[in-house]
Amino acid sequence: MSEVALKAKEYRSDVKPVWCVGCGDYGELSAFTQALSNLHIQPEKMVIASGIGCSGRFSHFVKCYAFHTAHGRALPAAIGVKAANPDLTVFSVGGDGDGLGIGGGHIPHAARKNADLTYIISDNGIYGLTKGQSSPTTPINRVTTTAPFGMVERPLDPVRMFLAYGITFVALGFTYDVKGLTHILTEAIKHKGFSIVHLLAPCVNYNITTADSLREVIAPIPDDHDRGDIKKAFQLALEDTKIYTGIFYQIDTPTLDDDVRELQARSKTRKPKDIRGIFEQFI
Amino acid sequence: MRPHSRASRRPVVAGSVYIPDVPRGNQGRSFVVIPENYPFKTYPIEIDEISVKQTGAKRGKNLVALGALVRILNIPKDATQNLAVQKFAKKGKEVLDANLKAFDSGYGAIGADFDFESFHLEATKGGAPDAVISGNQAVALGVIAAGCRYVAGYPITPATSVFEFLMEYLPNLGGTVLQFEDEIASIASCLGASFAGQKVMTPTSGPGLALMGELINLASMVELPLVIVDVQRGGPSTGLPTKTEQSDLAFAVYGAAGECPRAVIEPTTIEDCFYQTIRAFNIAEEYQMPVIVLTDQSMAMRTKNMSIPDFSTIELKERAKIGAGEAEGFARFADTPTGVSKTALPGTAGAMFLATGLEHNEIGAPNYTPLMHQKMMAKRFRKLETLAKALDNEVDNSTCELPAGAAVGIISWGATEGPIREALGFAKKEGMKVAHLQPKVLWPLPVKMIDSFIKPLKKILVFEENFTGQFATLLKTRFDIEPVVITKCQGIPFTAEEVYEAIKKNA
Ligand SMILES: Cc1ncc(C[n+]2csc(CCOP(=O)(O)OP(=O)(O)O)c2C)c(N)n1
Ligand code: SF4
Ligand SMILES: [Mg+2]
Repeated sequence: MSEVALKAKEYRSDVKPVWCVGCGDYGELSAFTQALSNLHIQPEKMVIASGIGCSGRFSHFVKCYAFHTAHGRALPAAIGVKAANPDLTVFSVGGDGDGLGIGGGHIPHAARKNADLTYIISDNGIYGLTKGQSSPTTPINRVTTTAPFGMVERPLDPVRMFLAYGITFVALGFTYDVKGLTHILTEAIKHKGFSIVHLLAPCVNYNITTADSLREVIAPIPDDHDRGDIKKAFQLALEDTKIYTGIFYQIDTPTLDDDVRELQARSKTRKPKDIRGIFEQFI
Repeated sequence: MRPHSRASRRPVVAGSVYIPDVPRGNQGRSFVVIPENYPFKTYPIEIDEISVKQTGAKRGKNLVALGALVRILNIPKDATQNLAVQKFAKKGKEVLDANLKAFDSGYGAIGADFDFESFHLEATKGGAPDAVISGNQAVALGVIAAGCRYVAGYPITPATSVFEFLMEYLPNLGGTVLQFEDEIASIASCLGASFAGQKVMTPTSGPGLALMGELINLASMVELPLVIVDVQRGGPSTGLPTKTEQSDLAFAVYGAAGECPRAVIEPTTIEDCFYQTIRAFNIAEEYQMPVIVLTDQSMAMRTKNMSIPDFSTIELKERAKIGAGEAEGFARFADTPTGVSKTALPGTAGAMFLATGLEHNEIGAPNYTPLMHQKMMAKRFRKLETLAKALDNEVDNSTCELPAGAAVGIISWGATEGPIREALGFAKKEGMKVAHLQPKVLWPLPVKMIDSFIKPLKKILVFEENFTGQFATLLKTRFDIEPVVITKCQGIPFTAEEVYEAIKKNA
C-alpha cells in the first residue's frame, strides 16, 4: 500500500471502455477502482490477467500491468504471476463462458492451490462478445442464437460449486449495486488466499435478464451471518426464493505462497543447494 | 522353433560376438536362429541354468549376464561387485550372497578362449569423475543451470521424470515447481510467471504439446520468453507412450492459430540435452519468444556419463528491460531494427502496459487496422531473422563433417546422431567418404550451415524416426534438394547397422 491514495478515477487507463451503454460491466469497473483506492494499491504493483469476452476487456481499462490472455486461461495465468512474485496484488477477470465454460476445469484446482489472488467472474448468462450464444449460466427456456427453440440444458449454480470446491472466500455481487460490490471487492482483495467474486452483470444486448428483474429477487446476506460456517453458507446458497448477495464464506488456510515456502524448507535438509551439488549426486 | 525376430533380421557388423542364452532342455541350442552366412561368432552361455543353480531362481539372470559382461569388457570386477553389494545389502545376507554367486559364475562362464581384445574397454584416466545421467536428467539439470526457477507441468510419459527431478531439486534453490490440472493450465501459469519476470519452463510430450498450441500463440503474440521441453514419443494420439519417435517437428515449427515465431532446438546427445536446454532459455530470453526443445524417449531414458560442466563458462542471458528514465513514453512493443523491444516487469513504476493476444500497436493497445497488422507481424518475425543471422555467426558444436571428395552426405536431427556416427565409422573402415551434418537448431533453419554443407554434395540422405519425413519436408521448403528420405516408424531408434546398410545402398 502506498501512502498517497489515488482516487478511483486515477486507476483508469487511457483506453475508453468499449462496452455497450448500460452494460453491467461498468459497475464492476467503478466498484473495482473504488476498492483499489480504499486499499491504496499501487498500480505498478498490480497485475490483472483477464480472459476473452466483453468482460475480458476489463484489464484494458485499468492502470496496471495488464495481461489479456486466452479464452478460459486467465486464472492459471494469474496463479503463475502470483507464484512468480508474491509481492504483487493479482487479479483474474473474465466472463461466465470464459470462467465456467471453457475454463471451468481450472477453478476447483485453483481452489486447491489457494493462491492469494482475487478472481472476478462477470456473469451475464450469455456469450456477449460473440453475440448471444448460450453460456453455462443461461436460464432454462431462454432463447439464444445457439438455442433457437429455448435452452434445455440446466444452468450451473456457481456459488454452490465454489463452496463445494473449498474456495476460501466466496461472494456474490450485483454490478448495479456499486456500493455493496465495493465492499465485497475490498474484503476480497484483503483476503489472504483465493477469493472468488461472482457478479450478476446484466448484458443489455443479448440476455434479457434485466437489472430490474434481478433487483426483485436479490437480498443482502443478513448481517449476523457467520462467514466461517460452511453449512450456513450452503443454506444461503440453497435458498431458492432469493438470491443472496454478499460474502457467503471466508476462512484462513495456508496459501500457495505459504506452501511453496514450506516445501523449500522441507527440501533443505535433504537436497543440495546448488547446481554443482546436484550434479555430484550422480557421480 | 520360433526365430527371435531382432537377431535374425538385424544386419550385424563383422567382428561382433553374439551371446545367446541357452535355455534348459533345448539341447544346447538357443531359440535364436542365426543364418549361416552371418559374419559373427556365437558364444552361448547357459544364463538361465546358472542362475537357477546359484540363486535357486531365474531371477538372478541379470547378475549372471552382468558378470559375463564385466569379464568381456574388462571392467574392474571389485568395483562392479561393490555396486552389487550396495544394491542388495539391504535385502539381507541370503539374497546378497546368492546374487554375488550369480555374478561370479557369470564372470567365470567366459572362458580364456574368448577373443577379448576387441572388446576391452579402457579405464578413464584419472581426472574428476563423471556424472552418469539420463537425457531427461540432463534436460532438468540444464533447466536449473539456466536459472529457471518456475516450472509447471502435467505428468506425461516419457517427460515425467524431467518434472519429477525438478520437483525434487528446485525447491532448495528457491524454485517453485507446480503440478497443474492439465497442460493448458501449466503453460498458462508459465506465461503468467514469465510476465512477472521469471524464467519458466514446462515439460511435456506430443499430446501435451498439442494441447498447448493456443498458449504458444499467445506467448509469441505478447512476446514472452517461455521454454517447452517436448520429450517426443510415438504418435498420433495416445500412440506408443513408452516408445520413441521424432514426429512433433512439424507441430513444433508451425503448430498454431495464425503464424507465430518460435525457435525449435533439438539436442543430439545426452550431454547435449544439458547444453541445448540452457541455450533454449538464452534464446527465449533474448528474443522474447517461445522456444521448444525436442528430445525423444530413446534419449530421455538412456543413461550416459558426462563430465561435470565448468559452470563458470556458462553464459546466461536475460530479456532486455528498460532502465532508469526509460519509463516515460515506454512502448513495450516498439518496432525496432532487430524486432526485439525492451520490456518492463510488474513492480516497475510508471511503465505499466497491456499485453494482449489481440493484434496491438507499439504501446500494446488493441489495433487491427490493416497496416498495423502487417507491421507488427513483420516486427515479430524480424526477431526470427535476427536470431537466424546470429546463429549463422555463432560457433555451435553441431556435427558437421565434410570429407574432401565426398559426394554423399547425411543431414539428420536429434538422437539419430548416435547410430549415424557409428554407421559412419563402419563406412569409413570400408573406405567410403560420407559427409554428415546434425544441426542443433531446426528453426529458424541454420541456412548458412546447411547451404555450405550441401553445396559440394550430389546426394543427400535424411534419416528420421517418423513416417512422413518431416525434417526432409522442412529442408525442401528452403533448399533446392531432393533428398533420399529414410524413415523408420517402429517406436525404436535406428540401429547403426540399418543406417550403414542405407548408406551402402546409396553411396
Ligand atoms: C479457444 C476459443 N474458442 C472460442 C472463442 C470465441 N469466443 C470469444 S469470447 C467467447 C465467449 C465469451 O463469453 P463470456 O466469457 O461469457 O464473456 P462475455 O462476452 O459474455 O462477457 C467465445 C466463445 C475464442 N476466442 N477462443
Ligand atoms: S454485449 Fe452485453 S456484455 Fe457485451 S458489452 Fe454489450 S452489454 Fe456488455
Ligand atoms: Mg458472458
